[in-house]
Amino acid sequence: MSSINKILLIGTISSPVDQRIGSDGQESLSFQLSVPRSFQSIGQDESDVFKVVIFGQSVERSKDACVEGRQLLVEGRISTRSYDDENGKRHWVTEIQAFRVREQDSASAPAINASSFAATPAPSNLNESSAAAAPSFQFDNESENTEILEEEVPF
Amino acid sequence: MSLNYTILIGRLVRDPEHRLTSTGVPITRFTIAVDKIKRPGEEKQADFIRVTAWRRLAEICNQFLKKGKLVAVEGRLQVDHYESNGEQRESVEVIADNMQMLDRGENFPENANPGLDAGSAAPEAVSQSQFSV
Repeated sequence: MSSINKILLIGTISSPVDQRIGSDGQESLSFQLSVPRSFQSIGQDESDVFKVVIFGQSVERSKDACVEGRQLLVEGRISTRSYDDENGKRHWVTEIQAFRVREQDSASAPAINASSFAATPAPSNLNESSAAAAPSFQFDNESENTEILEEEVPF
Repeated sequence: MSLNYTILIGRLVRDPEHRLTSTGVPITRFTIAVDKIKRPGEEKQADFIRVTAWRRLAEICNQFLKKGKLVAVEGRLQVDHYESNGEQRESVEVIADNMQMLDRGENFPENANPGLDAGSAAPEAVSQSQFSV
């Protein structure tokens, strides 16, 4: 049978990020993602808080982006599992198993630029210079991209 | 900025449940089994995801969906909190805003013999088998 299970969320990490290694040696990251609702009814929650887990190879490329308070785009699947508690009662857990995350926080953009300037041997005024250089650098990059695109569009 | 979008394809594990809210709004709930990716040597497994449809879509789901049907559902994932026997519980469900039937049951006009089935309820929408709110 063909199945599709895909979910896209943009929200804020609203819990500390828990990084652990399971009994099978597999690394995992888990956190809560708070996603504001686009419309609200009276008496309902203002945002949905989802459990997000990241397993395996995705952990390595995701862990730098996963910081409490940061806004993230999360792409994954809806996963359900059940467990029995000590009273023999069955509980169902629905969580997002994420394959890919991307930072959405605009405040983190200078940080990305700063790391690309990190090779410059001027650590004392690194922050200042990267902050000043960042806007013009981005602008140049952008205009260059448009030129290439216009020439290379095949149709 | 926020985004909450999900798309699922799966089979209904039982017939949908339909009711009206106290204010008369139609609501239909059903659960779909969405196959997990099967790894060699593993048994076939599925995620069971609850879906809720409201209003017109609720009526359509109730009218056409049955246990075993393959459907595509688009919508958003929602978490609700409620109390049951003094215990705080959480329910996670997809609120559907689009539903498409992917297999044709025997009560579908397209598959039925037109000569025999001309009188059955067959709104134009059925021929597209795609509905949204």
